[in-house]
Amino acid sequence: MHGLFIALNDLKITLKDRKVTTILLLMPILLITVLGSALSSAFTPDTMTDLHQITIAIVEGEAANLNDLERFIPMDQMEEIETSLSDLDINRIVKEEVLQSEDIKSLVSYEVLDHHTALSKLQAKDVAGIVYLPDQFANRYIMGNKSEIKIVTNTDSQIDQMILDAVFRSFSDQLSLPRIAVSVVQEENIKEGVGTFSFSKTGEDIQSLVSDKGISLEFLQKTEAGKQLISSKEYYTSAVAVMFMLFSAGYGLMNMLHDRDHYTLMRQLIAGASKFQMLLGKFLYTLFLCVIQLSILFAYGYIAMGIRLPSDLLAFMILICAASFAMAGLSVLLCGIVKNQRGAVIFQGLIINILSLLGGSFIPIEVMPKIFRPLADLTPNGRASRAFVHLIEGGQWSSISSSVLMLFGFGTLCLLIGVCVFRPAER
Amino acid sequence: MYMVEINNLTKKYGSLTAVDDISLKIETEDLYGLLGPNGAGKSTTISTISTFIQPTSGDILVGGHSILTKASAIRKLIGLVPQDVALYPTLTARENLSFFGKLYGLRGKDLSKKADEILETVGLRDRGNEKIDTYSGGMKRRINIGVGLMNDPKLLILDEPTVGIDPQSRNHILETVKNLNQRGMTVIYTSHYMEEVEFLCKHIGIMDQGKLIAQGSKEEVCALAGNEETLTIHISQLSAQHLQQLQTILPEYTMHYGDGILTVLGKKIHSVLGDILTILNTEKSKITSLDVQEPNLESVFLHLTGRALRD
Repeated sequence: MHGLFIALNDLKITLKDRKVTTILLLMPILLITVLGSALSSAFTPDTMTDLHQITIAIVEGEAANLNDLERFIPMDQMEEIETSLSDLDINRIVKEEVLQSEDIKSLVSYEVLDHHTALSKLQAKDVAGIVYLPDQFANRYIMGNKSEIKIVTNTDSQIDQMILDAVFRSFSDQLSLPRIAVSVVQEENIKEGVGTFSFSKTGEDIQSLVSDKGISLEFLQKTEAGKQLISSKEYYTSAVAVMFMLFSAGYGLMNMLHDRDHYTLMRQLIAGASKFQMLLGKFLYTLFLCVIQLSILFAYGYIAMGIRLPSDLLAFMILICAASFAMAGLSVLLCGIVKNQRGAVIFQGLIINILSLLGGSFIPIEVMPKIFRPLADLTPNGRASRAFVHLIEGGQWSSISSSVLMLFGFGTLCLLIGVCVFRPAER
Repeated sequence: MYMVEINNLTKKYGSLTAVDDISLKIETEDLYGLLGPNGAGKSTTISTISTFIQPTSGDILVGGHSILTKASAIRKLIGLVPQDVALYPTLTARENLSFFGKLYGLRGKDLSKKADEILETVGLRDRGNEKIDTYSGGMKRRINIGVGLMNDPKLLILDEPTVGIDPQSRNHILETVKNLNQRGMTVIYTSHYMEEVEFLCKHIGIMDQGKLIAQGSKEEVCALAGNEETLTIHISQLSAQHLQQLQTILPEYTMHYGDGILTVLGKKIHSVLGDILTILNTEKSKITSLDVQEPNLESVFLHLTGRALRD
């Protein structure tokens, strides 16, 4: 009970303190509003071109076979068709005319690979996506059958996906190839080689564009069940909320330092609170504060900014608890290792900013240099932020379970280390 | 029956010896004054008695329990009033009392009744619902003492509870401490104000540089000064040359000058007062007050250390 009393007392003090509530609630609300609105264009493919160059894998389709057409086409026309076959060689068109065009060359480089190699490279994130060109495109075209270009990207990189989407939309539009359908496959679990996909018709804008030109283009988007693109408001609600959870962890530390410096810690000890109960108090304080903070910020995002809430609300609540648990653990670790205000200032002024930067709270991870991108998953805030984004995109529990485990694990590890190294009498 | 027995207590912080092999005994229901200048080791001693810090060597028994093995039993017996105001400034006095009361195991009506009782004791009943931030220094000190009383301690430890407060609050605190002692509570009172200790305490220990340099009843300790009187002269400036001159013509007297106060310790001060004033008159500075006191704790400290307590 001592731990709970300490936590509730600290929480009461925090919520009464206007300065602290301003930092923990109003500042993130302001940032979400500003960043979410001002950087909305940064989440569209046009803007990405200035920021990004990607490498893709091309898996070529099987070449055309005129023998299959002999039954249907008069012999006198076969020669003419043979000469125009090179115009219908989609492998060549894509490689030479599309990807070598001046505009696109600066944006996308490519390698021609077989299916398995391409998949391995995608898993290793060596390529941003795989473009599967259709087999026997010319045959299908001549026979009036539809063809598909399939594009597989990893959903970790929404920007990559959008760039590819934009390039091949443009390609289909420019060539007016009625039989080309662009399929974008978001393959969330591609690295595990697992993935259940459903097909949903989207891209109404392309449909209308095509119908205006009398083109019968079928735009299919293969997505993981229910997954949709995320807006800047949604991204920054997650990213900023998670960043400010780090400040909550910092306030757990600040409260402990106040207790040390003003002898209220000594009083707690004499009043019978053990070292563990004191830390439990700070742990619960940070946990409660983070849950309150996240709830308010996502509620603000939903009500005022119009963000979507995850369809899997249970997973969302579990993720809120896991992220809060991680921050509470971090707070206990800080209480154990930081003994003075200087340490607290370093954490709040420097470490939080570094973690926030690496975790994608300032700029999306996808536009950061490649070397930094894997680090996002190693930071608790980055992991939490991406998990929130996955859920908002329409992901389910399975897409965030590893993040939830990582967050609980991180929190537990920090908690254990904090309890071991904490010395209430040290100053 | 002793409430506190300190046996060869030593506390070191690296190369600094904060408390150096002290031993003393405090009887139950005693009001024991621990006197000494800042940095003498008083706070370290009471922090050790309070089980907040571990000794480097030695042991302390509180109510028969060793701080080394029965710290939790000792904590139930003591109430601590730290030198700093150990309160949450943005909470009200009542909220502070309630929080620590809960940690002491009080709940519901008992907690509320106890908080009322404490507010009454420290004279803040009508201000209990105001934030500590809005209190004067003296009021903060009073509620600081109040929190230390929430568990009805057998031993109340007060560490310089009157530092930096107005005379009215100071008197209130001294009266409160005296009343608590009269009701049977053992009190350890540390201060560097000798007049407070003289007013309150039955037994006194004097600490300096980590050592216990004198202890006993008030009369026993004062006798250590050998019936020497203390002359205190407030003079804004005194050159080293004139101080040396005074020391030369009056070698049997102990002299000290600091913070605008000249202190002269010795027997029959009146007989040499004229000589002293003659030399001081050669200084351009003005003498603002002059006081001769019978043997007291200040003179004891000066006698034992050659320094004034306020140093």
